[in-house]
Amino acid sequence: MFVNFTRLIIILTASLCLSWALPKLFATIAKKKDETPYITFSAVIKDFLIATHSGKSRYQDTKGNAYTLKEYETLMPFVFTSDLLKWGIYPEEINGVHVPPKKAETDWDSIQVSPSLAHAANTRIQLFPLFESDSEFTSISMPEEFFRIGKRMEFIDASHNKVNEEKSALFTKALSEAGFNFPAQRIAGNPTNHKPYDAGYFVTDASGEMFHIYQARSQPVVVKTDIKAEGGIFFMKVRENQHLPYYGLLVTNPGRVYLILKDRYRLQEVWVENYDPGRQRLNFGVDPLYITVKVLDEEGERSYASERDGIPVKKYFYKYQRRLKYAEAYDTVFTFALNSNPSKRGGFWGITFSKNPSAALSFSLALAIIYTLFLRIQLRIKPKKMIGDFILIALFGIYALIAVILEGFETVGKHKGL
Amino acid sequence: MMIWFKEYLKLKRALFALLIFHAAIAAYFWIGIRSSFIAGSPVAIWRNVFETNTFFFSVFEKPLYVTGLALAIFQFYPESDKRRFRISCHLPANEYLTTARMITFTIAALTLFWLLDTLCALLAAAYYFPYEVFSQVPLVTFYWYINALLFYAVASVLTLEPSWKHKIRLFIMFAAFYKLIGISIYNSSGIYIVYLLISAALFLSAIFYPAERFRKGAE
Repeated sequence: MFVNFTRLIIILTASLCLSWALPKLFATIAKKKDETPYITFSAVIKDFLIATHSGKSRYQDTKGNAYTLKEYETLMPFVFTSDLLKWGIYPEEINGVHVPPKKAETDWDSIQVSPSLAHAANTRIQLFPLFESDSEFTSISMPEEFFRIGKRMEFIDASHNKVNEEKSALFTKALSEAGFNFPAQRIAGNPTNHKPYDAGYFVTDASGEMFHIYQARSQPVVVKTDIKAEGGIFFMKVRENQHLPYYGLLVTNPGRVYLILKDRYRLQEVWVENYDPGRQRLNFGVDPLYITVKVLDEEGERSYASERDGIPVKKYFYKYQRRLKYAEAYDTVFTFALNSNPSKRGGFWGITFSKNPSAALSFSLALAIIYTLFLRIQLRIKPKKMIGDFILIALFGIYALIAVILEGFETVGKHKGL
Repeated sequence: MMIWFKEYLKLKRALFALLIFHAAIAAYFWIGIRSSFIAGSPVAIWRNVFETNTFFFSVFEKPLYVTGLALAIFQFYPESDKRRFRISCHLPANEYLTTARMITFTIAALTLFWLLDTLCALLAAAYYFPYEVFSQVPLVTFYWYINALLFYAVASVLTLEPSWKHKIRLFIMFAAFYKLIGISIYNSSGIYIVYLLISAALFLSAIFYPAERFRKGAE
C-alpha cells in the first residue's frame, strides 16, 4: 500500500516538473515568428499606421492603403522629425497647427504600464531619496539620506544607518500640519538624480488622500492635492519634463487612466475602454497634438487616439494571428502550464490554465481511460490497482501519463517485481 | 535516536567539512561587505539594493544548495554502494520510520546551516542597512533553505535509486525541478512560501519510493 502511495508521489512531483518543461518545449518547437506591429497614430491623416517587419517590411493605414518607407515617415512628422528636416519636407502646419521642429522633439512622452511593473513598484523597499527641488545648481545631487513614511516621516543617514532626528521632526511636523494621516500607503516618484529637475513625490496617506511632497531650500513643501482615486491606485508614474503639462500618469484598479495636470493638480481622464490593468499591458504616448493609448494582451492591440485635451478621435483593434502554430492542440493537450520566471520585476511562478478547459479535461480523461484499458488488456492488472494512476492522469493529463510511462508499468500497484 | 547517532557517525566528516565551508563563506561575506562600505559609497550601495532588488547576501545562496546536494550524496551513496541500506531496513525496526529518521537528521543539519548563514547575514544587515532591508533577510534565506531541501530530496532520490536505468528515468522526470524554485525580490508575497513548503513536502516524501525499491531488492 505504502509503496503504491510513494510511487504516486513520485508521479505527482514529476508531473509538476513536466508541467513546466513540456509546454516550453512545445512552444519552442511550434513558435512562429513574433508579430510585433508598430502601431502609431498619424497626425497628418488622422488614422493609425501599422508597420510590420516580419519578412518584408510593410506600412499601411487601417483602410489598407500601403505606403513606402519614405511616405510612412512623412505621415509621422513627430516621430521622424530629423529625417523630414534633412529632406526639407518637415510640414509648416499639421492640421492647421504650426508645430516647430523643436516642439516636436521635446513635447512627447511614453509610459509603459504592466502588471509586473505595478508589482515591482509595490514590492520595492520603501525607502526613497528626497532631492532638492530648488537647488542653486543645475544638476541634482544624490542626498546622503533616504526617507520612509511610517508612523512619522524619517530620514535615515546611509553612512551611519541612523535616523536624522532633526530633519525627521521638521518634515513630520509639515506633513501633520497639512493634514497627512500616517502611515503612507503609496509613494510615487523618480528616485534618481538623472533627470532635468525634481518634482518630489506623490504620497497617498492612510485615508487615501494624495499629497505632493518635495524639498525646497532644505525646507519641506507639502501640498494636499485633493486627488482621491476611485477604486484605489493600481500604478502611478511621475514624469519630470518641463515641456509637458502634467506631473504624471495615474492608473486606478478599475482601469481608469488619468493625467495629473500641473494646473491645480486637476485630473484629466485619458480615453481607453475596458482596460483590465491586472491582466493587460498599456502603452501611453503623447506627441505635440495627440495622446495615443495602446492596450495589449494575447488577443491583440487596441489603440485609442485622442486630442491633447482628451477628446476621442479614433480607435482601432489589431488582432494578432495566433503566435503559436497548433494553438488548439496546445490548449487541448495541456490542461495547465507552470510558469516560472523570477525577475527583478518580481515574477515568481504561477499557473496558466488551458483556454479550452473542456477539451483539455476531455483529452486527459480519454488518456486515463486508454491507459487503464491498455494495462487491463495487455498486462491484466486489476482496475483497483490503477485507481491512483487513473486519477492523476485524469487531473494532470499528458504530464502524469509521461511520468507513469517513464516510471514503468511493471511497478503499477505491485509490491513484488520491483 | 540510534539512527540519528548512526547518521552522525556516518556524516560527521562531511558535516565538519561543510561547517568549515560555511564559516569560510561567512568570513568572505563579512570582509566583502565591510570593505564595500569602507571603500564605496553607502548611498550607492543602499540605492543599488533598493532599486535593483540586489540581495547583498546572495553569497550564501548556492552554498546552501551545494550543502543539500552534498548531504544527500554523503548520506545515501555509501548506503546504496555497499548495499547497507537494505540491511538497515531489515533491522527489527519499522523501515519507513528508519528512512524518515535518516531524512529528518539531514533536514536538522541543513536547518542548522541555514540558521548559521542567516545569523551572519542578519548581523551584517542590521549593522549596515535599515529595518526595511534586514527584516527581509530571514525571509529570503528561508526560500533558499526550502530550495536546498528540494536539492537534497532530488539528489537523494537519484542516489538511493538502485537501478541505473531507473535513475536515468527519474532524472528525466525531475530535470526541471529547479524551475519550481527562485526568488528575485524583497517583500514577496507570503503565499509563495506555502507553495514552496508543499513542493518540499512532496519532494521529501518522494525519497521513500527509491528507499522502498531498494529494500525490496529492485535491480
